[in-house]
Amino acid sequence: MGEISLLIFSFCMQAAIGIVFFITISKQLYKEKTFKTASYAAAGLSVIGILASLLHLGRPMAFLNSLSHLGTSWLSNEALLCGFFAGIAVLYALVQHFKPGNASLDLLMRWAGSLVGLIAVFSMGKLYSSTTVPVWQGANTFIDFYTTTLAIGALLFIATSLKELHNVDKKIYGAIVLAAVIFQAVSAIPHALSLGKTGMAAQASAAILSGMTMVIALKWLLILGGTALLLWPAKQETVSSFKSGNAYLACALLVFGELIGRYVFYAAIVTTTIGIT
Amino acid sequence: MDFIDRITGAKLSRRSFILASAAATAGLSLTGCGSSLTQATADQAAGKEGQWITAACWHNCGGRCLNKAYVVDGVVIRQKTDDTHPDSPDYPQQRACVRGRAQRQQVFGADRLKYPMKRKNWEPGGGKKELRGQDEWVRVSWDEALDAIAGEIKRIKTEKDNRSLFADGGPVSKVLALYGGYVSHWGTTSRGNWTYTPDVIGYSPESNSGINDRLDMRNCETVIMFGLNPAWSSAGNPAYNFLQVKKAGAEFIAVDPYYNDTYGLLEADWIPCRPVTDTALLLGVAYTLLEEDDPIHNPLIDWEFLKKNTLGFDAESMPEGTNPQDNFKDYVLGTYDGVPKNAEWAAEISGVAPDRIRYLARAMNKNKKVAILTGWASARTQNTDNLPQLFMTIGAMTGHMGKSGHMCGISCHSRSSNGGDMLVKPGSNKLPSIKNPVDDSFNDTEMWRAIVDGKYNWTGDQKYYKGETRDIDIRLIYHDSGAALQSRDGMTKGIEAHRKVDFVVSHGQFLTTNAKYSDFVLPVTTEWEKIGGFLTGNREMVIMYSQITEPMYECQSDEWIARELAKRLGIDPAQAFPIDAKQQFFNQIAGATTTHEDGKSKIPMVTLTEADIAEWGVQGKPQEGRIGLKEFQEKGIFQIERKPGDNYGFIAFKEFRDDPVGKPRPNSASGKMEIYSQVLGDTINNLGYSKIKPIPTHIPPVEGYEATFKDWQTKAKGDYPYQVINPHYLRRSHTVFDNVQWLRETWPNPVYISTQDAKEKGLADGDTVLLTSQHGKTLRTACITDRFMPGVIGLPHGSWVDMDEKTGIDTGGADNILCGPVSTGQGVSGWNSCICNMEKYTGASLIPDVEKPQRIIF
Amino acid sequence: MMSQYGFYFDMTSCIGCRTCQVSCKDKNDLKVGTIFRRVKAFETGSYPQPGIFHYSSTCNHCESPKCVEGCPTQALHKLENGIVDHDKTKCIGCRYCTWSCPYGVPQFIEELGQISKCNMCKDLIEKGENPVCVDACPMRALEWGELEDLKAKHGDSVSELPLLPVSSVTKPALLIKAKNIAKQKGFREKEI
Ligand SMILES: Nc1nc2c(c(=O)[nH]1)N[C@H]1C(S)=C(S)[C@@H](COP(=O)(O)OP(=O)(O)OC[C@H]3O[C@@H](n4cnc5c(=O)[nH]c(N)nc54)[C@H](O)[C@@H]3O)O[C@H]1N2
Ligand SMILES: Nc1nc2c(c(=O)[nH]1)N[C@H]1C(S)=C(S)[C@@H](COP(=O)(O)OP(=O)(O)OC[C@H]3O[C@@H](n4cnc5c(=O)[nH]c(N)nc54)[C@H](O)[C@@H]3O)O[C@H]1N2
Ligand code: SF4
Ligand code: SF4
Ligand code: SF4
Ligand code: SF4
Ligand code: SF4
Ligand SMILES: [Mo]
Repeated sequence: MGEISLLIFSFCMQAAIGIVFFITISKQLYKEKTFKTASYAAAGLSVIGILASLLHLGRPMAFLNSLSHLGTSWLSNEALLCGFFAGIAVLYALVQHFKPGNASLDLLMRWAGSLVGLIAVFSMGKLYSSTTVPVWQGANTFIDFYTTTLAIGALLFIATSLKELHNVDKKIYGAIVLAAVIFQAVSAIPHALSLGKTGMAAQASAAILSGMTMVIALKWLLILGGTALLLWPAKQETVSSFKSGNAYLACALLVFGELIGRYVFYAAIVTTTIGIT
Repeated sequence: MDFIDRITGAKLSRRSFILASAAATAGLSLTGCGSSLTQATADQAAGKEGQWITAACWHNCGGRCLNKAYVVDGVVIRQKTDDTHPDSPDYPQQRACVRGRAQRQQVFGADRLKYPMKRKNWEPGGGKKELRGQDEWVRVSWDEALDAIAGEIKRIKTEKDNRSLFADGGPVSKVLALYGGYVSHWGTTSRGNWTYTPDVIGYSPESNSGINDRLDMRNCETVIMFGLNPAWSSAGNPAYNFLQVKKAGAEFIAVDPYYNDTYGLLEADWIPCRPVTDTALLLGVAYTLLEEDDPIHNPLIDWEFLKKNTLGFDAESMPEGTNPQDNFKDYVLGTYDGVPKNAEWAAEISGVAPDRIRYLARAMNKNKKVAILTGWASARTQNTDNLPQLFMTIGAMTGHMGKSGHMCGISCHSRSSNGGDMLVKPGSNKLPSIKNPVDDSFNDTEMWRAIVDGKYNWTGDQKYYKGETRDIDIRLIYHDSGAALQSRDGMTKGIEAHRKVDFVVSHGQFLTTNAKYSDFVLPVTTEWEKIGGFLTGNREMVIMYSQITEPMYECQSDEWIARELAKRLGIDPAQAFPIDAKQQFFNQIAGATTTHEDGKSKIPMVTLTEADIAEWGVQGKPQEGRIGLKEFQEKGIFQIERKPGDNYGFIAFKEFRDDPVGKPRPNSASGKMEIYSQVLGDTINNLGYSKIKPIPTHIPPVEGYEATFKDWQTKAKGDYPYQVINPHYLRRSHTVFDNVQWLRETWPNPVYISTQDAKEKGLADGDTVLLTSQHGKTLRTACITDRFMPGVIGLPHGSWVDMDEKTGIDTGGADNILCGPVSTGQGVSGWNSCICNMEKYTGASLIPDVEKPQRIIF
Repeated sequence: MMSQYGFYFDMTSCIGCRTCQVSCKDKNDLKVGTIFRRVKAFETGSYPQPGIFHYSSTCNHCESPKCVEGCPTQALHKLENGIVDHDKTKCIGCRYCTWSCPYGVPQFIEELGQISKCNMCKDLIEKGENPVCVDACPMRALEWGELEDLKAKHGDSVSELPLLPVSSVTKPALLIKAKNIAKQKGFREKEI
């Protein structure tokens, strides 16, 4: 599959944005905690994402040209926003590492990162949904991107902050993950059903998707299984609800499941040109 | 290597170009992706001024068009076609087809033969002959190659005689003729049974004199086409000419197993009919005409024409000394044999429903302006020696002959859609013809068997003498023209023959199939590398092309090789080639003629001055013509401007219709059109292949529809239940262009299978299908279509064989692996009569031809 | 006034010979795998009444080109005369245009790391010549010119067919004289 670098890009970027979002929220709740590891993870993922996106280009060295059509081209917008977000994420990690303690800078950067990140996710959704690939059109792409951002972001946040969160009730995170995943699953059904009814390209995509039934089943198995595992009641701890082993495993399952989902997302590409090219 | 230059664009010389292409070849051998010289050359050339030069497109393609190459510093940057005058349907440009537009890909292809090559395990006398076609190749010098070849020719002649040397008939064959002679071959490749039959029955012996010209055809109300596909097999203007006929209001009917693109264009009413059953179908038509004709209420038959212009239609018109009962009409009615050849009878054989046969007969209504046209395909079949005679008979019965808007004859190849004498013609090159002292000659259908088995049926090199069995012992095969191993029936036998003899040599521009199974291959130049020449096609134009590039690599012309071999064989080359290539070319220019506006007299075409002659450095006389030499060379074409009502029109058989006594047919014993021809019957029956009657009758072909059954009465199918035809495919001109990657990409060459047959066999588009005949096995990718009649498979003609030596299965889809050497009648290669079995292939699927490695050996 | 050049394709005259396709490859020196003008064959009906039509397509130089709108570098841009041109110096090979063109026109070329597509033979047009494919067609089925003029000349032509994406998205500068069978659904793409 030729879109592997885009897969890595979009996934890592959304994961990083999700992490920053949850750092931001969590810092509001638990002011004394730093979530250093999480911020490193966010920075790392956003850098990997940006590098992967460059690999996708036929002429990576000329990537700056991509900013020449801001406003009109959603790809231009996305490039700017993602670049901007990655910049913030890296800076934030650096600040956390070298100059911790500056609360107002910390606040500013977190919130700015979250905001830019969430708008970047919107630009990604817009980028795909405005192509001539019917399977990407409509609300489903946005739902998919935002729920992935939230679910994966929350999970990675937890996984990288288990120590700091050991005496905190993590049910709320679990609930967010569960809500996101269920929303994603529920919205996927009408989308899949509507595909068969529209044009040739959509039908071709539907055909590809039905050819991938097993893969799609695996995706949901992993995602829902991971979520269930995350919420599996832990015995030895009272306040917090997750067992660390479970959390890591759940995280792995969910990440894998969402990766498969993103793979399917790209694999189903059929443009409206099906008849002519 | 000049790569740096190429990339930096520092210099673009022909030399760097060739080196680059050779280098690309080396790195390319597996993927073989198209032009090895793309972007860099185009970019470099941009900005530099080049020159448009008329470039030959010289293949046996059924068309003839103007191609030009844009040459910058000796490198061809791109091509174009005719823009020498504004385009109109009456006076059309001669626009090239898809193959012509890829011509530079062929000439500069990575797979050109570059140097003389020798088979690694070759030794004088043979040396592991079974390795022919699989051995490695070793580069040798010209001297080494020529000395070895001359040595073997001498040895074989000394040890045996000239009757053991077999050659195709190119320039080297002339030298062999001077060296005491060689065994040749002959055949009916293109015209099938139109090769001999029309020549003796008073019909049109030439393919161009049987139908009216293209402007007159626009007067037709109905055009009935029996197996015509100019969209593919007469590329250039014919399909466009037919479109004008449609626009003028004519309706089209197509009788063919395949609803091809010509019929799609003309929105023809398709009458699907089985291959090799046109004779039966037309007999059903003749019966219907006789049955329904009523001179007063429903006059369908032109009795006057039949009476005045033909012989043998009925008992009264039979020639003297024959049994009156043997006439055509009584055969059709079944008067004596008890079998009326009515629509029902014809339906069982042809697969055309009786009411459709009657519909067809009525469409031939003598009071309508009708063109009854046929291609050669239906007669490129076994046991159809009488088919041309039957077409003539139908034309005579319906009176569609000799009048404006009426015609009945051949529309095929370069004369498709446009009958009449050539209006313009090049002169002769004035090379002497050399007589071959050996009179042995194989009919194509027995050629490979003769070499393997050591005997054959001699009929006098296409003189149609009484057959006589002769012993023969061939030791040498010399290919200096044609593509015999690939293009003649029974390739499996052919490969066996090539592995039997002592020595095989091929000239080639590529590693053709002839070359692949040789001991020595000699690289020859294409027309783009020669000094220039003429090309003819439709009657209204002639093309004069010029040299585009210096010879590639170490390529030489066939004539140069012939001269060099002559020297080594102790023969004076001047005997065969007393004048050089330039003088030959000039002779053709000087002798070229065109037709005066009166439509009759021939006048010189080219104006030649003393200065021209001096500049060329040739022998010649100044003359007054219609175009100056320089202008001609620059334009590259001389075309007659046609318009309705001009004097260049042509009505076939007009004089004969109007005055059968004063203007008898020159080519029949009686001077009439012979529906009963004793000469035809006797000649064919004497050849020794199979028997016919002097009148047209249906004879079940050796491998026809009837042969697909184990039991005709119970209609139980046999081992080979499908009929195969070989449409002439637009990727190629026969075998030529099959190696061009752009064309492979554009025309993938599937096998066509009808939807109904596919369903029965569980086949889907893209499946790999194994076709098995009595003569060989081949693989192809399926295209399931509703445009083929159930029971009929379309395997495109000319694809290069790719034999898997382990399984004995060809993976290249070669038609002549399937078509066998079956000799019938006039020794016809019955290509469209082949039967086979079909199954889904269980081995590895085929990859697209364009992804296969090219045949590159250096 | 801005002008808008366009193509006219007379499907009723087309025999699917693909001369346009190969002459375009020659003009643009395209390797195997890259095709700017592409002809496809479609079958309709069923034996013994089948139909066949061909569709010769290339860039439609749309009036509202989605490719231009989406291109982040402005490598794809619309010229005064309506041609949608591609600027090699700007293109970064993001391939977004291969997703945004409803007609699948831009082709990514691996070696160049960029896309490429028909530029209406801009260089020839500037010299007063026709695009190569137009002058190549042996059936004279292709025409080129000012879209308005073509419309006026060919009143019976359409811009939309069941096999094509809806024209309202990009407003292609394309006119087709369609065979009746091409105006119905139920066609099947076939190799020839
Ligand atoms: N099964 C089947 N077989 C058929 C047919 C069919 O319908 N079905 N059709 C038949 C017909 S109609 C015909 S006419 C024949 C054609 O049969 P051929 O004439 O044998 O076929 P071509 O491929 O035209 O062969 C021309 C060869 O000459 C080579 N060549 C070109 N220029 C030169 C040159 O300057 N010097 C030398 N030495 N070689 C050169 C080309 O590379 C090519 O190999 O095929 C027949 N074979
Ligand atoms: N592209 C291309 N063009 C060529 C050539 C080539 O190799 N490639 N070769 C050239 C040469 S040398 C020649 S001789 C000509 C040959 O030209 P043709 O003989 O016209 O060509 P084919 O494609 O064999 O057949 C034409 C039509 O006849 C139909 N047909 C086949 N068998 C029968 C039959 O038994 N009865 C009826 N009624 N129809 C039948 C086929 O389905 C097809 O639609 O083509 C020339 N043009
Ligand atoms: S029809 Fe023949 S001469 Fe004309 S361009 Fe095609 S291959 Fe060349
Ligand atoms: S060149 Fe003309 S006839 Fe041939 S496929 Fe193209 S548009 Fe159709
Ligand atoms: S056809 Fe596609 S590439 Fe061409 S202008 Fe329209 S949207 Fe752009
Ligand atoms: S590949 Fe080039 S032309 Fe296409 S959208 Fe990207 S930058 Fe623009
Ligand atoms: S206009 Fe030029 S570039 Fe465009 S399809 Fe035609 S030949 Fe190709
Ligand atoms: Mo032929």
